[in-house]
Amino acid sequence: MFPKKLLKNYSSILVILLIFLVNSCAKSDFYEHKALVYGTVLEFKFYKTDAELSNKAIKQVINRLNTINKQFHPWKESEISEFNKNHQLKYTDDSFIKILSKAKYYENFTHSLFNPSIGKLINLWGFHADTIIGNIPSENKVNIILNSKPSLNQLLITKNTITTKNKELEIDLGGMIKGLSLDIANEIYEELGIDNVLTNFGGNILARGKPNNRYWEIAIQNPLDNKLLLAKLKLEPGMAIGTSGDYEKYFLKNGSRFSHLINPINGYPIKKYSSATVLITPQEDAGIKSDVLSKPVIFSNDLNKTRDDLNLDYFFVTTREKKILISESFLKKVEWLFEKDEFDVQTF
Amino acid sequence: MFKLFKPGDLVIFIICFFSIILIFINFYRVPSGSFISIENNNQTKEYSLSSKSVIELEGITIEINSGRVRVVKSSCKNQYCIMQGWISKLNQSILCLPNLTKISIKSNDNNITHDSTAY
Repeated sequence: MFPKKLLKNYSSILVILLIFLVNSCAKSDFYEHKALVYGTVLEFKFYKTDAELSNKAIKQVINRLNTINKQFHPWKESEISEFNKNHQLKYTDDSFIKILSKAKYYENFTHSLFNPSIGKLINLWGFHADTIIGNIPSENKVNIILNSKPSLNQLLITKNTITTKNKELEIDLGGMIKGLSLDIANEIYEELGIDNVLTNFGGNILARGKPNNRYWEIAIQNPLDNKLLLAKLKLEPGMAIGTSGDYEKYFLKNGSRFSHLINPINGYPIKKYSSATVLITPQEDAGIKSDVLSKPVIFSNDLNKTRDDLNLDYFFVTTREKKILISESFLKKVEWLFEKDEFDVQTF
Repeated sequence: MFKLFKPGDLVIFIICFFSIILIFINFYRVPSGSFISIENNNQTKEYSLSSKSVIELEGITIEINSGRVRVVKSSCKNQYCIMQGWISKLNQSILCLPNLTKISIKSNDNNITHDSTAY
């Protein structure tokens, strides 16, 4: 039934077919990995990078982020929690001060619209918890904190201690940790000689290099419906993008939405805009900027002025009334993915 | 009698059969982001595939119903556009040259491939 010769012939055809099949679903040039660190989803997408090297990088990044969380986690056990309780701390590592100095720099750069010293206010609204229940504080309590004008400039830093006289000052670097983590990951890639990788930490993305023949392409989630996409764009090597939105952490009370994005000027959650997205061109601190600069944008009273103040070209805000206000330069870069007329797009 | 087919042929047939089916499935899959585009006299309008409507344009009447589109009435001579009947698959189109009209099913989903999502 199966003449040996024929079998031989057919098996060679089969082998060729198999090779073809295996090749067509060939080993991808991409290596993807997801991890969870202190509640933040980390996503790595390496292009043409040795799997072992990729895993080494991921491990180093996670180690660093664990260390940072042990230093700065605002409500779990950390050095900063200890400082917030006692208003003084003997810090263990110089990296601690380096990060605080960065935060201070950006607090001043954003005229305190990114203010890492209002941890007490954020806690007052009930956002220092794994599960947010929420609490609307009395005006009086809010004002006591605001009147003390909390600022990292009120810190007294010596060789191994930090102290402050302002008892209302509590540090919360939640507004820059994701971005800082991106820059740290980027340093690790640099050290290991990894050239092409897309890193997404809790929704903030940094592009390093690019896959062959194309740029990294990312989509932006629709702020009003997390199952939908709002826009798509290409990230050139070194670009970073970040969004602050009222859909991330919030609670609902009396039919109103209270976001964790507390305006440091008036002490109340953001109402005017539902999200702010900023695109940072390749530069130092691109990761941090993609995180920190979305705050002055979302709290902005005048987007044109904010653009000049921050020297920021690419950003947009959205409202719950389905309006998008976008800078002209950014408009040229995005491709909208919503159904026609779903959002009213205007430039400023 | 000579056997026309040998066992190995069967293997090849099966592989070819499934390959063809796979190719067709992929080819005709209508992605969720699909819409109807109607070009008429240099003007393009887009309609949702799920809408149910009759669109009357100059010289031509188009019907959209449960994910399909067709030309119902046309002032053209040959009525080829009406004879084409319904179209419902991605990238299919109906042309009516006398009326300068092109109806096609497009998708912006083709572009939605992306590496990561910012939120």
